[in-house]
Parts: sequence; structure tokens; C-alpha cells
Amino acid sequence: MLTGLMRPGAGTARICGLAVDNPELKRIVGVLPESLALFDALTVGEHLQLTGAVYGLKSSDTQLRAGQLLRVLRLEHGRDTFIHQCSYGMKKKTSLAMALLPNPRALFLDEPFEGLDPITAETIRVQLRAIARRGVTVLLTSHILSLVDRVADQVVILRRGGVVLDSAIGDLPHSLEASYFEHAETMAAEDLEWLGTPAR
Amino acid sequence: MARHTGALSLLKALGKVSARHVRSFGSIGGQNLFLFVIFVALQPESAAFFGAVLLLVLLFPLAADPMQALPEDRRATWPIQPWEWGLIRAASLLLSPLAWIGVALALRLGWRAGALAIAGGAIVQLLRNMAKRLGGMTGGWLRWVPAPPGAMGAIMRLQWRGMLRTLDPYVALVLSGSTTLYRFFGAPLDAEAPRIMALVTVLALSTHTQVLLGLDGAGAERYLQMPLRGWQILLAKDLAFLAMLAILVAPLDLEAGLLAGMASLVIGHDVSVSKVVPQIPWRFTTGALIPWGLLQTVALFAVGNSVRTLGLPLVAGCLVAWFCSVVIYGWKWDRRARAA
Repeated sequence: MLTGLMRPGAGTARICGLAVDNPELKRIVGVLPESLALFDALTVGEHLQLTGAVYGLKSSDTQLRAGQLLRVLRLEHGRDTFIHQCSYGMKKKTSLAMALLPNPRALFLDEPFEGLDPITAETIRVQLRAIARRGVTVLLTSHILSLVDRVADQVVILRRGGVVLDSAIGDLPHSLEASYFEHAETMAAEDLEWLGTPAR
Repeated sequence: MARHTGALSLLKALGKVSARHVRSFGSIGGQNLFLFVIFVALQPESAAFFGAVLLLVLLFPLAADPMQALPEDRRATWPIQPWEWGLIRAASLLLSPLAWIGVALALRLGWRAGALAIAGGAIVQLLRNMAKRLGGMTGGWLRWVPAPPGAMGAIMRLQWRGMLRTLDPYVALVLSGSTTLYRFFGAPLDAEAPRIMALVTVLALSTHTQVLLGLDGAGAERYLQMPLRGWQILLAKDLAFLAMLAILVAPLDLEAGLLAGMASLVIGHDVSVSKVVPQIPWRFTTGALIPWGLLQTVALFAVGNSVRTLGLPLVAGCLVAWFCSVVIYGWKWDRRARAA
């Protein structure tokens, strides 16, 4: 709803001063959707070209930004690879690069660290901190709590559609992981006895 | 005995995969040309020609080696003996749909026809393997599809690639190409024949107009996030369709073909926008045969056959109808995007 993809049933919400049902909102937000929403028939580089063209960037700017993004995300080797031939991590990076390329004023990222190698995940974390310092709003969802702990200013934990924790990261009484287990989930403690037992 | 159940289970799994592979060709049941072939089946000679065209194009995906369904990394890690792999390899040949087609043709038309189909399939498989290796080096020939400038151009390229990843354009190409060759090198054709074949070529491609967004698969969701109006997306996709159509019908009857294509687009927009159905690559495009496919068939033949008698007013009428359809269904897509 905040990205303008769904119309609110009731009430209003604004992103960077624009109502969420304003079509212009799409010009200022970057989205990394859960489905990644990529085209099998385009290469990684062509996805970025398409994004630049759709957002009205000059071709030279698109090329410059695309080159930098591919370098930072360690995706240069895959520039000419078709999406259907890419690994999950490459697809995730492509979708993330598409969200960043138009220089959005607000970023909505669904599981940005999932499926990525540790160096790229850390690079993204550093970049997100940097752009947040420059005034870009970053809203992300993630189950990789060790990274969320180091990237977020504010955390919200949801359980079955309801908010169970909403706190500044510095105000948490325990680690984020401990808070998560306290408020959201408990671990299944079943022992799989047959694992490690010699077959009869 | 228990030691060898692995090979048997693998064969069973391969059988299941092969059956599903064959079932995926059922998409032809939603292709507009299929409807036409059923109609002309009343005249067996014509049906045989169109049937042969469809079979020729289907030969490529049908000739796939069933063993390719087993990932190589799995093959290397499973505890199956080399002789068991040999048995699986031999048995897998019987799971190939092409083997069954060969047997059916041999029983119906004689052993030569069956052997020809199987030999054709073997050659196709060889070509596929070569293309796959070449594709591995070059990243696939689809990368050479050019993009006109701008956002619309980028969407047009995407549409061309999506279209070229289905079997429909290849059927249209065989229809158009064979008619053109016959026109120049065969016996004199009836004066109406090139126009009729141009319209059949449009028909072979017309199911694409029902899946303008579905051809993008999961990528279609991306349009909901793009700062583009629905009419811009539809216009780019329509122009891509008409451009490909123009190349195919140019040697036959360009005017009738393009107007018939527009009629097809006007009808196809509704189902394209209201129901985004992802398409399976390298299969026939599948749309809604009844009522949309039937309506498209009637409309495109009516428009294509009337162009000589109605002339300019028909051309103007088609252009206006197409323009209005792009605007109206573009607006509907925008509404859908906001209510997604």
C-alpha cells in the first residue's frame, strides 16, 4: 500500500508528501518486491537500461549508474546473462539495482539480504546506512536479524498481522534476536532421532 | 532387489516428467489457429497441410531428450551403478513423445513416414544441442533482437523477445514463407490466395494479442511499479506485435494483414488487461478460445476480406477503433494497477 501498488481501503497515507494513490509516487519510490518481478527475456544489464529509460534518465547517466551498481553489487560478470540463467542471488541483486538506479527518495525492500553472499550483504548494509544518512527513507523487511541489528534505527516485529514490538534499536532491552524469540516465534524442539543412527 | 529400486524409481519419475511435458503441449488448445484447423478439418487436404505445419514446428520441443529432465549434478551424486544408467538411458528413449509419434505414423502411413519423423527428431535434437552449446557461448540469439530508443522501445524489445520465445511466430513464419516460395516458384496461385494466407498468418499470431502482458511472466508485475501509463505500455506492445506481423505478411498482403492485426488487438486488449496469464516458454500461446479467439477469428477475416471493397473508410475505422481501444484498456490497466 505504501508503494502505491494497493489502494487503501480507508484512511490516508503519504510518502514524501505524496498521497499513496498519487501515480507520481512511482517516480520517487524504489521497490524490491518479494517476487523480484524480473523479465526472463532480458539480461541483467538490459533490466537496468529499461529502468533508466522508464524513469527518464539520460542514456549516459543510466550507463554510468548501472556500471557502478553492478560493480558495487559484484554483478559485473552477469551483465549479459539472461535472467532465466541467473542464480537467485543474481536475480535479487538485479531487482535491488533496479530499485536503486532511479535514485529514489524512499526505498521499500522485501528481504534485501536473503540469498546473498556475506560480502554483498555487508556492502548493501553499508550503502543503505549511507543513503539513509542522506535523507532517503529505507523501509525493509528481513529475517536476517544479525544484519537488521546493524542497519536499522527502528524495528517493528509483526506476528499474525499485528505489531508486537515497535522500538528504536537502541532501546531494546535485549539483542534483536532475543526480542524476536520473545515476541514472535518459539523454536521447534523436536529431536530427529533417526538422523545419525546407522540404517538397519 | 531393494538395491535396484533406485533405477526403477528414477524411470518412474522420468515417465511422470515426460507425461507432464506432453501435457504442456495442451496449450495448443487455446491457440486461435487450432480453432481454424478444426474448421478446415472438414476438408481433409487443407487440414493435412496445416497439421503438417503445426507438427513441423512442434518437432523442436517434442524432440527433447527425456534424460535432460535429470539435472547433471544429481546424476553424479546418486548411488546408481553405470549399468543401471545404461538401462535408464535405453528405456528413456521409449519415453520420448517423438518415438510414439514415429510409431503412430509408421502404423498409419507406413514405416517410411515413421522413420522420417524419428530421423527428423534426431536431427532436431542434434541441432538443439549445437544451439545450446552456441547459446552458452553467446548468451542466446535473442540478445540480438534490437531495441528502438526510449522506454517504449525497451518494452517493444521485451515484447519481441517474449513473442519469439513461443511457437506461434514460427508457425506464422512457415505459413508465410511457404506461401511466398510457392508464389514465386510454384504453379500460379488464385488471385485471392495471398490475402487468405496473410490472414491465416495473422490468425497464427493473433493469440499473442490476448496475452500482451502474460508474455512477460513474473515480470508483468513490474509494470505495476513503473511510472508509465497503461496506454503507453499497451501502445508499445501493440506496435511490437504489428511490426512483427508486418514482416510476416509483407510478401503476401500487407494492408489486409495489418488491418486484421489491428482488429485482433482491439478484441484481445480486454482479456490481456483483465487476466494476465503467464505463458510457458517454447509452447503455443494459450488464450481464451471461446469467446475471444472465436471473435478474433471472425473479425480478422471480416476486416481482411473487406479491405478491397470498403477501402479507406475501413482503414480509418480500424485505426480509430485501435486508438480508442489502446486508450480505454490503458485506463483500465491503470485502474487495475491501483487496485492490485
